[in-house]
Amino acid sequence: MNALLGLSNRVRLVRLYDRLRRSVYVLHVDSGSCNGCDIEILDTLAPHFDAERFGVKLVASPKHADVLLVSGPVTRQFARFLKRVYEYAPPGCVVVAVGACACGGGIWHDTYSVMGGVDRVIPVDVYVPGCPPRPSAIVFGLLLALEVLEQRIERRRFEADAERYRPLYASIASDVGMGYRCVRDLYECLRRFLGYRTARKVLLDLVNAVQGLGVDTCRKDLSRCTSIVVRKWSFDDRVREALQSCEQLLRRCFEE
Amino acid sequence: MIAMSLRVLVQGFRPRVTVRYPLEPHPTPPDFRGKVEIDPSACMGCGACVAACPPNALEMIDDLDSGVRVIRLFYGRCIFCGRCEEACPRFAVEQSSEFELATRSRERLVMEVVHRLAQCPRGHYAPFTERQVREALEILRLAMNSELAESLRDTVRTCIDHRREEVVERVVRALKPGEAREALR
Repeated sequence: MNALLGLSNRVRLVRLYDRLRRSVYVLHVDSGSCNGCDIEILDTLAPHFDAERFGVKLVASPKHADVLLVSGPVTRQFARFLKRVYEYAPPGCVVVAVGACACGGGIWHDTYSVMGGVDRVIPVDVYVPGCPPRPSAIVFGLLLALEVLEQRIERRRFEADAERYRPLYASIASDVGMGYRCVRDLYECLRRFLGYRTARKVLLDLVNAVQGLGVDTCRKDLSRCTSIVVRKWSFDDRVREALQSCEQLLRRCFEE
Repeated sequence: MIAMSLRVLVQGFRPRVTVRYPLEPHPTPPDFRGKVEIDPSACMGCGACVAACPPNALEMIDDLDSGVRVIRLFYGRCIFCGRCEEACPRFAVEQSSEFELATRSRERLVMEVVHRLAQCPRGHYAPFTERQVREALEILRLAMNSELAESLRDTVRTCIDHRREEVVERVVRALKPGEAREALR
């Protein structure tokens, strides 16, 4: 059946919402959100993501709604209205909490003026985390609410034992044969130019380059080592600049 | 009428705008801030991410009786800002491009890393982990020399209260009896 309709195996065609025998009516309830999630919900319904291809239709009254899309941390002022909206909706309506605020209070979880999450006021059937969740995540959440897709995330618990553990700078420093302080200073220097995310990648690339060429070669000819990294990051001019500025530091690292 | 039919016809040949998302994976842009993942083999349980987390999605729960520290991440509250990733001194926190986090139960939105706490030489558990002790000793070994680091092995494990006591005791021992009485007054 799935192959017939050109669907991949990602989708299980259960469609329990077939029992409705009509489109799914969705009511969007804004319970004091910053409008980030609301705009993403609009995006979900707009042609690019087009939730209407799943029969999702926006309605204006809770009395028509099969699904309540609730965004926002539920302000104290709005809590009783949210409860009333839920009471007006037909029994068995599915509540979807969209966004970090609606799921667990988000950044406002302990603020005096909010309830901190939709589930403190009305029962929630589907949680869609994200700040804001991207429209495809909302589509995923909607299809989860319609019991078309399966949930992916699992509760995970890891035991972190001390035996299987290798200190970080120690491993980098011993791989390259540099001092501990040097590796740390180098990372700080790169971070100042590139931000932490790129700096980490560049640092690891640098380490790989040094390992590939050998420490002695790099000590004699530093530009050969850095040019490998610069060539790899040729789309980002900041890397060249950062490595030029850290050259003194690099030289000192190799001398130690 | 004809013009309208033509327009409809042309519309049919335009490329489709709608993404086929649930049928096909939806690609994320590079450096997309998605689901936060803690690498349990690299995490040392220092709690830098917990201090940095603006919405307190990351929590640190110490149990000094059983000697367990839990770093708990609740995705429902996470705003995917990446502060934990930046703060992590071990590069153990990373944001993947995963975004399909929607779930039916709140319990599934939790990730936990369980650490063993270090034992103070006086027998009870100290408020830092076994792995932190290892990291500290390694840094001391690299920054100083191995004998000096070896001599600090017990000091590193001592909890803050007892370390303070030890310092006071050492000072008192160094002073002469009369001076000590004066100093402690």
